[in-house]
Amino acid sequence: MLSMMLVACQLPGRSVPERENLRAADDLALIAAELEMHLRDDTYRYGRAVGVDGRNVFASVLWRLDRLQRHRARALDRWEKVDVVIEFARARALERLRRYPEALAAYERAAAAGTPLREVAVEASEALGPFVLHSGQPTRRLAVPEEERDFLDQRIAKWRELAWEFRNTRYEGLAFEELEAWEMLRLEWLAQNDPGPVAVAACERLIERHHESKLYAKHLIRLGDLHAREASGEYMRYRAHRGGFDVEHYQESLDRALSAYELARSEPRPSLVKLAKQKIDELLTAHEAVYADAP
Amino acid sequence: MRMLHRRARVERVSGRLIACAAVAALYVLLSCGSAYPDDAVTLPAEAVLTAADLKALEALELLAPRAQPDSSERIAQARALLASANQQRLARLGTSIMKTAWSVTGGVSPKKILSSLSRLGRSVDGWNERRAEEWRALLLVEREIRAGSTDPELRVLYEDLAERWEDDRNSVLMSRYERLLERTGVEKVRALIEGSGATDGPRSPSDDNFGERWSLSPPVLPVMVREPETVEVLLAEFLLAGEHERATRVAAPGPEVRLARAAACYLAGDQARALELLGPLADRPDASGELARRWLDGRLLDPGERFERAERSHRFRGALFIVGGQGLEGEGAEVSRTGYRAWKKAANPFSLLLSVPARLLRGRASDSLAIRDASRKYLAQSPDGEHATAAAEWLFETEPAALERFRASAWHDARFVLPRSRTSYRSLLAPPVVVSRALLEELGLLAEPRFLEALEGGPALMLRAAASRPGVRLEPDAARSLVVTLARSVEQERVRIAASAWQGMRPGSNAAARALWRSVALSDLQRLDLVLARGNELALEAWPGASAESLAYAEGTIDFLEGEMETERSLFSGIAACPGDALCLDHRGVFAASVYAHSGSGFRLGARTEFQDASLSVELVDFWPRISLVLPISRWLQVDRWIELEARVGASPGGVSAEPSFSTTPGAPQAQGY
Repeated sequence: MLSMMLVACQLPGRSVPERENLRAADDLALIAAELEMHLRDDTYRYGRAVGVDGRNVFASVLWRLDRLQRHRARALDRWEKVDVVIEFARARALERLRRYPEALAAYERAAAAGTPLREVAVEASEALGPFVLHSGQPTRRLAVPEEERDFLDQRIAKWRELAWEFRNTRYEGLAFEELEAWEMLRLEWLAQNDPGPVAVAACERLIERHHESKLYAKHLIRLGDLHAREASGEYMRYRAHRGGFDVEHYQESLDRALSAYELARSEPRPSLVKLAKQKIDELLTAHEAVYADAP
Repeated sequence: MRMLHRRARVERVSGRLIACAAVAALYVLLSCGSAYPDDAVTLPAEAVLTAADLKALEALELLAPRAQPDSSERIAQARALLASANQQRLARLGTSIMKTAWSVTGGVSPKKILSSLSRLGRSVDGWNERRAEEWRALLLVEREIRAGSTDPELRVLYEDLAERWEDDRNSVLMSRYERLLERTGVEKVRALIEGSGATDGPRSPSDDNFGERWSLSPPVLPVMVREPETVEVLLAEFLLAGEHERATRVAAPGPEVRLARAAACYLAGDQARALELLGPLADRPDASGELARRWLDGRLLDPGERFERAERSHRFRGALFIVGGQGLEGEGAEVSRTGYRAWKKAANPFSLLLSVPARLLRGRASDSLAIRDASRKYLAQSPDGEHATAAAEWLFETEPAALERFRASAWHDARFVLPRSRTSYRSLLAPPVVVSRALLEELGLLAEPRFLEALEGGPALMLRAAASRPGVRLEPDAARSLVVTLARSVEQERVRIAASAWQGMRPGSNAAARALWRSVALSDLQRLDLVLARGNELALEAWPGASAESLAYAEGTIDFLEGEMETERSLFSGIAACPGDALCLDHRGVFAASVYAHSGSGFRLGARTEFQDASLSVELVDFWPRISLVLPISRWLQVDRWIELEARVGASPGGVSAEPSFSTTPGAPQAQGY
């Protein structure tokens, strides 16, 4: 009986292509609405919105648009209005996902099609130009670490300018995200090549500049990691007989690491609260071993 | 036996019921052919394009008319559409019947049964709702009538469809006006009705000139673009181009378009209209319903309404917590077996009598994340709004002040400076040592003038190895011999030991606990000795003992993040409370007394007296009184090095207990409540 019911349910009331086309059209309106609802989101201060399925809304929208585009499978010279709208929506989603070169290309294709969206597409592609220019790889190979640091410094300076230039526009948040990303990269470079007080100071400056960022707690955890590494390094040097055990330095680093993790734990971000707690536990466990072994 | 018969009868009836439902549902499904839920769309009553829009649409290349079918074909199409609409109604009803029967006989939770019944109710209630197919049929027939068709059958069909459409539209308009009436008042609604144009009010007779009946009672017909899919494209285009105002005026059937229009209304600043469009969609069980609910909760909901909702929920959960603790708070609101079990567990008279007053006294708030978040959002959006004071109060009440202070302590004039850590850990630095005057006297150290000078008549002395400290100084050699004297006293158990950093482990009276405390004290003295061995001097400072200053300094045992507190005060002693990270050494008298409190996972408040290692405690454990007496028999008999024997006597409202406690392997210290 169940199989009969299942068969009955599958008897088509409409032809499949017709239904597909209706669905595609429905989807496009809905996708555009969902996209527009989130385009004004401040992605620098708050995390990107997630959909019903828990995934990033922009990634989910882009995937649906790509499917629509594949479903239609029209060559560029045979595009209809619906294809232009899909391409424009793709450009918007790509832009919010910080995939600037792809977004720029999509805007240019939408602009070339000459619909009422043309004007908006041209405007958006003009705004995205600097994003594409300053978010890519260096134009030449960087031979020595110092060159890499200079390159990072230049990028940071440029993004600081752009963040100021795009203030109060829909691109302000994206510019700040880029600036923060380059500053984080510079911090990682320092942590690798010049660890110790320099990296710690750079991390503290990062925290100061981006204390409104959604990544604030993450930066605090990074600062805690740097201090924890200092403490661990002090003990390791003593273990390898490379010097005496500077208890004051060890304990100061330990205390600062714990303090940074505690600050991260006090931020209202459940996932990072858990991570910070875990870091505190790990650090205390490591400290117990040092305590047992210290002179 | 009777029970078995009854059960068999219930099973028989259930079986018949499910069979009948299955047959009915099967018939419905077979007769309808298709049951796509996406087609089950209620017509939007306001689905109207203005003439200007229509012209604009007509001008677009995509809306160019296709080759039109002839009259008979169109009538056939209209009839097929109507038949399809009926089949879908039947399919929906059949599915609901099947699901309800399945829930009732399948023994699922009451919540699911209720949900199935409500779905069935909705299906029955929505039998007369207009469907997209009817709308399309009406458009097809209307086109023929407008083209001058005189077919009587067609005219009857048209009258019927148009009448249904008008009824439906009027009922929607009436409910909208009623809602507006509740919100705004009579005058505004009247003004709205009088001033409404083509979209809301009835058309004038002059607008319609086909047929006598229609000139007297004109049907309100939707003006619709010819190809539904192009409307969605147009809507998407308007939205993406930022022309939200224009997007609000495009309409077509279907929940997706309704959602898109709601978004357009919201983005165009018409929040009330957006809410109106989203309201009916939020009840749908599909993806569009989910999205509507998400938008309603996350964006469109008025901040005041969101705050009120969070406040109500918080109060309700708080009441549940008072009645049944965390279990009821978490599950009591559920209409399910879990919820029923939580209520059953909470409705224990003994627990209600004792726990409810305790929870009321403790006043522990339930999880306050939601109300805090709602308050913060409300204040950010409407700092001078109606609920601003209440929101600020909630923030103040639920945000631990210590946590806020800690966060703020990292910032000094916009500069980030890490504050001191609050986590307690075993320090590798030489700790300060607080020695009471009584102990110094017992050790004969007060004969040394420098000690007397440093004491300044106070009850205790603090020893620090830091070079920069003020106060009287001892040279390294003299300081190290003092450390040796103190260590010997510790080993000989001539001192009472306390250390704030070790509050988690209370000193017990058994050998294991005493050994542990000895090792803690010796370890601290060893670290002090190591620092002195490097040539550092020892600074002697007067410690105020039981003064308010010293007590405030000793508040190092409160874990402010977890909300836990652990504190102990010695009575009749030179060191009332041991300061944070210090080692405190006091004269070991025959008699000692202290008061202590612990709050966190449980609550404990009590007083303890010790005499010759025996202890008597009077305490409240979770507001439950208890008296306990511990007599260290083996210690009194001087055999505690081989066997640990204690006599324990306890009395509480639950009864009196007396038992010996044996242990041949002294190891871990005694638990709290010795």
